[in-house]
Amino acid sequence: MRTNAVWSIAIAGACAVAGLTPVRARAQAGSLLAVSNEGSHTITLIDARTLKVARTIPVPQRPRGIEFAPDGKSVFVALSDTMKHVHGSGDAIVSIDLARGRIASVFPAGTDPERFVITPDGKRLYAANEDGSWASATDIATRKVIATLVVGIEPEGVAVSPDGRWVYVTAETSNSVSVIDTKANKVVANFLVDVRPRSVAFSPDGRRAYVTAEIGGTLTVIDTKSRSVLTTIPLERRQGKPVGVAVSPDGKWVYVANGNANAVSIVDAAKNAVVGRIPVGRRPWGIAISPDGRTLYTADGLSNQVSVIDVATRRVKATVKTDKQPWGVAVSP
Amino acid sequence: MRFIIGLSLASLLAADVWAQTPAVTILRIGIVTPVSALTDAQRSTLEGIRLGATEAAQTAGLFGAHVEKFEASGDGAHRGAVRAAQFLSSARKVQVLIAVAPGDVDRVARFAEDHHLIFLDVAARDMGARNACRRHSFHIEASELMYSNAARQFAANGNAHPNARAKSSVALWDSHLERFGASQLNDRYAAAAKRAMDGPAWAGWAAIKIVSEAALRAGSADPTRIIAYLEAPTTQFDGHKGWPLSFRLADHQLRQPLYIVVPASAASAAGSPRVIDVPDLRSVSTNGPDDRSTVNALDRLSAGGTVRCAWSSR
Repeated sequence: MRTNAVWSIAIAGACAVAGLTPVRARAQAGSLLAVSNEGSHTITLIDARTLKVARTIPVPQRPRGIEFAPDGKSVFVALSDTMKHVHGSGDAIVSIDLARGRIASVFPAGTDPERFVITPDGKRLYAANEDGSWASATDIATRKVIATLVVGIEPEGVAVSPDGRWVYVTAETSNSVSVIDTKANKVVANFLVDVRPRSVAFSPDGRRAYVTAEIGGTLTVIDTKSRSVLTTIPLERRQGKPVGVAVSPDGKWVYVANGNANAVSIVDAAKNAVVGRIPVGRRPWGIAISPDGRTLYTADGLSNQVSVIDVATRRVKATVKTDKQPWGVAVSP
Repeated sequence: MRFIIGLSLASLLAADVWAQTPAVTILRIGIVTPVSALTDAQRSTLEGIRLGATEAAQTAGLFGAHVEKFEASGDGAHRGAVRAAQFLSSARKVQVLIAVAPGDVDRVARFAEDHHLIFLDVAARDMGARNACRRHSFHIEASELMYSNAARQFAANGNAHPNARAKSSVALWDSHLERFGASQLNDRYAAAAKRAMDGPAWAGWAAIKIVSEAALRAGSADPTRIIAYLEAPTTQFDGHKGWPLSFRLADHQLRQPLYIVVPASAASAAGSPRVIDVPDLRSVSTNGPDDRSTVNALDRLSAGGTVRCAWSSR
């Protein structure tokens, strides 16, 4: 009951800022960036063509994980309140309607949701509940949690395979990756990776998954068929504290945001080797790539900016100021 | 003879869960507690151990493995701790022993060495425990030398030497730490123990995490294999301190940063204490010449007194 009341107020508050010009009913592929600012509790929408801030939308709690809906009509954001170990009134994933520029729906997603994914059919979302040590599956149409699954301690990274069949969840304290079968909504496998895994991303063909390890300072390459570790690649002399990871649309390149090194590592996916680095702003955590693979974006948390990287030249071609402590960045599909 | 037994058993085995690396193992950890009332630090340690055991059980359960924790105290006689260790070894078949009270460390460590069990030191700072050079002992607690060197390093940077007069102190952990998942760990401990996490609590939690992780990675609860994993130069652990933790082969001391805690009244930021990492590994890692830079910086905390045990030169 309390949750509903709080969210009624939150949505009403968000509606109050809805007098701003709508961005567009449906973002074109790669035309819009969405950035979660955990320090200021806002979402920055950036026009990817002009690299101008299109709108800043306040949210009622601390935003972290951020994803576009597959149809490009809305942005989903994970919000966490300050109540620990309980499903507090502010713990939720919300969808922001891009046409109206306001929170349209609130999805209960367990306690302290951090990262999440939306399945390619847009029907479900899977969230890592960091202080609950489980992952939750939510039906988007009914807005109900349909499964709560035990994974490792301090879960964080979540990714869905391109065919929507498998969801991988990393756990920072357990150093594990749990594999969820989305048909059965069950954990069907677990494997160990390097120390303190943060993010995970699939290759476009679904044959590989890439897991960053913040304390290990590495990128672990997973063979998804055998669910085994193929290799572990050291990054930035293992001192870079890698967090975000993105794979190019052609699957040839893997890009890793190294929070402590203020740089992006470029990994050749065929050779499983680092082939370059791109200096960016301070503490890059979030990373995303445009659908055409030409532009890379990092959320530079301590520089309060997004770095815009030209993939061809491997250089930052622009920066866009955001609000305080940008955490995640997403590109419209 | 009076024994107090506590049991925490992993019950998360799921038959359809496929595990990659670890073979099915049952790691049994015995905790020797004092008969007398626990001091505040000992209570913290014990609560840290209990949280660590609960979390280790969940992680192990993902792989069809188990972590079991048993607690026992002796009868208060001189050899009470040893009798408790004997009970845990013979009746509970533990592979790992931990003594909560500093006064029990030497006796229980000796027992573990004689019986080829692993001993995790979470309570003793004195160099005697390190100079004993027991192959089966691993020191999670920092040594007195590390504490004093941390204070000296901090003072060398133009700060007041941490002491009672300066109202600052050197700590293994502090409940105000936030980065690198520290706030999550502090929250988990506070929720479970109903008290703030401090150095002794962290030592207890970290000991269980380290040894259970080692068993899982080694695919065995055999002390010999766990020791080999703990000693391996490539082995590292996360303790929410922001940098990889590892054991120095020479003396089995855990390499780790310590913290200078400056109380709120003395700190520039009002409201909460300032917690400063020693050494400052962030600058070391950015400017250091190679990936050993942080390890070398951590080793400098033990400068001037590291014992080199015989096994490390073989």
